[in-house]
Amino acid sequence: MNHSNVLQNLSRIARPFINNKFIIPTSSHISKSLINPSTEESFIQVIEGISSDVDLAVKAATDALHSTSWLSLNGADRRNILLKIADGIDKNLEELALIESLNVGKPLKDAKLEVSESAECFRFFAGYADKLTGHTFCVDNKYRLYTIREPIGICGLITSFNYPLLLASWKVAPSLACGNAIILKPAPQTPLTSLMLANIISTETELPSGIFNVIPGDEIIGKSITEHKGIDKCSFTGSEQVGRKVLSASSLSNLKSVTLELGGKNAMIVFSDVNIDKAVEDVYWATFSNSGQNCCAGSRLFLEENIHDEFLNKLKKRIENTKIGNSLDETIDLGPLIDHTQFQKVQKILNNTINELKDNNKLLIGGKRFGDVGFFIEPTVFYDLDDSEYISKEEIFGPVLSVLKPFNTIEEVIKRANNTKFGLAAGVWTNNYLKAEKVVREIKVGTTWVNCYNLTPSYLPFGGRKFSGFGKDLGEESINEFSFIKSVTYSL
Amino acid sequence: MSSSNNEQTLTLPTGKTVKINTCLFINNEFVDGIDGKRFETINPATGKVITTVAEALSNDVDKAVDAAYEAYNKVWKNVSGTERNKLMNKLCDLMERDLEEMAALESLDNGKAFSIAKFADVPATIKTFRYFAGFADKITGKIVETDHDKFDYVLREPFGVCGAIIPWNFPLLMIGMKLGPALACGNTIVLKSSEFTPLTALKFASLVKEAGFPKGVVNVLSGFGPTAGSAIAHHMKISKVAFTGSTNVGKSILKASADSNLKKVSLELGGKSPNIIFADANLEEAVKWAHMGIFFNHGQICVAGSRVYVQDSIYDEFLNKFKSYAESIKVGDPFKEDTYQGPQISKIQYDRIMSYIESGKNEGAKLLIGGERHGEEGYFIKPTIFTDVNENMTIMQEEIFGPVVAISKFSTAEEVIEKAHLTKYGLAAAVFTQDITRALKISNELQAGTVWVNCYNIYEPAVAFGGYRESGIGREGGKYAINEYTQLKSVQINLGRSL
Repeated sequence: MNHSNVLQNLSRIARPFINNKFIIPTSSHISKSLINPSTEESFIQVIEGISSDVDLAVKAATDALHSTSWLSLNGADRRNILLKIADGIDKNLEELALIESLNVGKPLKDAKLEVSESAECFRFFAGYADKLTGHTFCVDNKYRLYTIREPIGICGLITSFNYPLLLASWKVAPSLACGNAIILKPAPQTPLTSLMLANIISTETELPSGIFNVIPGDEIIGKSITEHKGIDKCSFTGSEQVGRKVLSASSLSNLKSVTLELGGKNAMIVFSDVNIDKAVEDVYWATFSNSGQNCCAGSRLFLEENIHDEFLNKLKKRIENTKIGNSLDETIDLGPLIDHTQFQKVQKILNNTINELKDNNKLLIGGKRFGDVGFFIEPTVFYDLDDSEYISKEEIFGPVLSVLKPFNTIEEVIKRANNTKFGLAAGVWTNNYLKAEKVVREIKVGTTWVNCYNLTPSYLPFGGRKFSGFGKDLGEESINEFSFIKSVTYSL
Repeated sequence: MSSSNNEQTLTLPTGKTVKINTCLFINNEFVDGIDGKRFETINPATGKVITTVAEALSNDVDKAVDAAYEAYNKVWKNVSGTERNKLMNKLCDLMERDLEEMAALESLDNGKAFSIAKFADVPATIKTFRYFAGFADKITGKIVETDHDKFDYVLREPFGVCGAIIPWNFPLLMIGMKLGPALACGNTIVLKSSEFTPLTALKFASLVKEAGFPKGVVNVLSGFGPTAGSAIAHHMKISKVAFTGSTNVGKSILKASADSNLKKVSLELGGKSPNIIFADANLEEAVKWAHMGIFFNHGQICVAGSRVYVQDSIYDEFLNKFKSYAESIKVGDPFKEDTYQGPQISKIQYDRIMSYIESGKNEGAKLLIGGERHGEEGYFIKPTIFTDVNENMTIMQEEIFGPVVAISKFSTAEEVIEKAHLTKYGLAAAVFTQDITRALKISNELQAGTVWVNCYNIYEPAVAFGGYRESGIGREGGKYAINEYTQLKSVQINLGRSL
């Protein structure tokens, strides 16, 4: 595939998508350079949205929701549209993966898998569009009582930079299935695949104009959306800090309903009865996949005392075999971090940590930049950490694993694993069913993986608790998130 | 038995040709019957033979079941719901591609109007399949909270091999209604089409193969009830059978289950559905719906509103309008653009309907219009209206399955509800009124699996469909069909209890 052709074609759509059109920019619009994190070079210009674009999108969405072309569509029609979107994504898989990889710094083979998963997500939720139900209640000759399920209205969907297309799919698919209109704001660093999705919707489907809108931009657009009195719900994936602002904005504006999918400091617990080689491989990917830029990345490791040393030796060897390089190279394991800001932040944490722990020599491997060009950081492991260390508690969002002091009993490790402000995900490795069940039941997180990690099929709801947020993406639960229940009583 | 190249080219009345393989479809191959038997399928508009197809006997059924059994255990039970969803949607894409061809074949074999097959039957089949495709990856069970030291859950699992025996009135749609949920739930299938309408099932089979379904997942047999149908109903390796057809045959299928392996049985049988029209109904609309309620598909529909009860104050007006409307129906060649009513399916059905008409006359009902053959060839019957009936008459008790309606009067709701329930059936009913309270109260009272309010015959793949009383057992449609094609397993795991 000719990269420069693909990028050239993109310039037509690298701008806000409102009312089924990629806008003609006004003099107030600013063009922004997107940087390829593997090379640090600008590779494309994007026209960012401005606040009035949000108003325009809300107006377009409002009109669309009341239009006959939308109101005449039933669940089966929405299903067929969603199926066409899935087909469109599959058809354009190579291009989408290329751009996602270039833009995010994500290894190309991972990008391909994610694009495929995105199509599957649309296909899965297509099958819900024609199955929306309410309940009827006991037959009674005095009253007819029932609940009906309605769309919420206009949904503001805000996604993060780590899985741009996939997270957009997670939110767009159920939202459309339920009959809502959408204003999607991708992360400022990574607007491209969301705009390509808009292009697919526009060219491959008959979705009425105004139902799906995309406005690239940063916190100004985010603020416009979260504060907008015409938007009925906001579903947000991003940092805890910005998540709080989203909730606040809702409180200060129109009490729009909010779903927050925030960060994590996810515990991985490895018992001694496991196949260590398999557990090492699982833990490696749980930590370093996407260069650790994953809300559910495994970032705190608890090893049972008697396998601690062997495990770390094997993990170190595994890490030594890591190939790091340009994201488009299909042989690499890890790419760069997303941008200079994140790169600096992680470097700072690493430097501080190394300085603090200098005399204790708790750095197993890594700790510095990789290469001279690109935002690459070596996969890094600190071990024998106290639970109270900064890097034992705070989300780093980079390829850094904190191995905490080993544990002896299951009660101890569960207590320590739960001793966190977060509650997103956890991984357990054991062959003992009772141990697994005990951890699964007692650990306070939204998703638990046993003898595996990072599997997020569309039918399992995903979302955490505590500082990891509230509400669910995926699963039947997301249908509940994106619809509104109305109770009806007829007196007979 | 090697795959037979028995592909024929049929010329459709549209002028186009269609290639169809007329053999038995087993293990993704078209094969002759083991005994080499074949039978004719007739064009009911002309009475002439369209072609012959291979006939499945009980040894062929055994072969198909073995293929389905093997396919289930070795392949299909390991195929994810996500994959099944994809395959089923692909099959829908192919049916969309070949829509006109399938509609023409359906019309040729069944006699229904080509335009109706094109705009109703085939699209409804595709809609049904797409609906159930989206269920394939959503078959869920429940975790049930019981006690602290237990981990208990209920799983929904497929049966394995399912048998499906379908009738001739909506050949393709019947495939959709049975194979849709059966495949979504992960079962493999042995389908016997009706001996009167084998062709579209065979075309469907070729699309199943083209869509990429593993061999043995779907097997399609042409054949007769007493041989192939009975073999399916009695087969020891079929875990569930779904049947749509007459009440009498339905009972024999239930008996066959009892005599063999207690296979689960769902039956969708006959009806004698009451259509109740109150004085405050929108009269124009009520006439149109009531007309469609009986004359659609030439009255060959299990839910036909064959007993119309009209409230006395509007009876005369209704009858006049209804009569005019019925007289304006275009009866004739299914491939003519404006034809609404084609022929009845076969000579047997034609004779049956005519004898019901005779009994109506003999028992003292008044024949308002129709009651005789239309035209010189084919099995056409004129739209027929009886009035001045009483509830005991044969034409008021038994399912005629033809374009014959009985229209009578009533005064009060209590009276008509009682009359509505005077048959052994309970498949459908309708009430026409603008009073919402009356509509809801009466729909509460009616003993029927489907109650239409201010409409008739609307088909929705998402709602439960099936009979009260002798109209059937079990429900198709929606989540309910998923329940019909799965079985439940409870798993109780001990987390620490010791004796």
